[in-house]
Amino acid sequence: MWPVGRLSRDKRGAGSIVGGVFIVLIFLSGFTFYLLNANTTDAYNRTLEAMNQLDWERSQEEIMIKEIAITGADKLNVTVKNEGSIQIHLIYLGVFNETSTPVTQLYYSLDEYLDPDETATNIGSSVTVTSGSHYIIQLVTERGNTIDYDLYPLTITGPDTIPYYKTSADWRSYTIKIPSAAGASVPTYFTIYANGSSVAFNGITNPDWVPTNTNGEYTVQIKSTKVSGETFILYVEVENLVGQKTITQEPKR
Amino acid sequence: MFGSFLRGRRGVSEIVGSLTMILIAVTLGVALYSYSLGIFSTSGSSFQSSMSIRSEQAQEKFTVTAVWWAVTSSQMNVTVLNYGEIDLVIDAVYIEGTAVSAYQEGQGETVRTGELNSLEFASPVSIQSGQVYEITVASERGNTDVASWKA
Repeated sequence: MWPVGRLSRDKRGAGSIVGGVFIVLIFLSGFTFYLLNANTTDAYNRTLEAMNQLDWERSQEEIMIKEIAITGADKLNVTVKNEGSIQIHLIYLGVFNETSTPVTQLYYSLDEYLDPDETATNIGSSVTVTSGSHYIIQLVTERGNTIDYDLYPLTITGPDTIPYYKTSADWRSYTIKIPSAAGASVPTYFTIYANGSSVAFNGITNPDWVPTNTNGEYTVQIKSTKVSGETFILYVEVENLVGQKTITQEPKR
Repeated sequence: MFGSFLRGRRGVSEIVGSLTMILIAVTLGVALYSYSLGIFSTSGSSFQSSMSIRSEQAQEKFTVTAVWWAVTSSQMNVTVLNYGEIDLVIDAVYIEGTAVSAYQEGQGETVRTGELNSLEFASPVSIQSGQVYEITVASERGNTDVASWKA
């Protein structure tokens, strides 16, 4: 009887060991899958946190187009200020010509970083616009915010060069046209200024604040008396819209 | 002699019995282990797949930046910016809840992160100048962006 009893205990022992090993294996597998799922959940939560952070940052962005000027060569000059509390990355400049049929929408790549309270100028200096057309200028940030600006370019029509002033025949006329849709009803009051050292306007001071006629037009006569000649810029500003024209006065002969 | 034979056979039977029991235990163990692995694996991969989809949905961000409408050709153009962290594909556009069916370009194209994409299509509803329309853009992952546009 004794050897049989010992064998039975051995059998039970072997079965228990085999069963125990499998139970441990099953528990280990379960734990492994639990860890994998926990890691996945953790990664998902981190993703959600990152995207919530992006949404929060997006809501903190505040950008303002301070001014859009058209240069003498019909190029854009956009001045932008970051009025938010975080850095802004401008990635696109949209130029939509609302006058053309059909409307044209062009986007230009930008790579402009603006710290809080920083102002950037000369954005879009490679973009040519057509005088007299209505544009919507749009800035797009990396975080997906956009800001639109209605641009009604001012037009200044007149000669690029003027003579040295000797007689009244040397006055040169420039016609300024301010579209009524610029925001104010006609007649529109605007600031006129020329930065030459010897430039004068006929009948008004330099600078001065004058109104257009009911057609939104104003004609100014300009003279300059720099003996050696000089190049200056005629500025016209209404609200936050600026037009400018580069004029060269020839030397005295 | 006979007693010795019996003792010998009894010994063989014990060994065979033990081996049989161990074999049964191992077989049952393997079967149970395989079954549990299958359960874990199925539920695990289902969970992983579900979380992966949800994670990608969360990472996908886009917005409509511009809309224009060509009166003469009745074509609409919607520009979408992908500002999320992964590439996306625009699957559908709805104007006032009506799905666009005739796309000229943009549908099904991959929009990389930080890039713009134009969708051009014929409007499924009649566009009246001065009216405001709700434009819904939907991605393949099921995210949407709704823009209000005045014609």
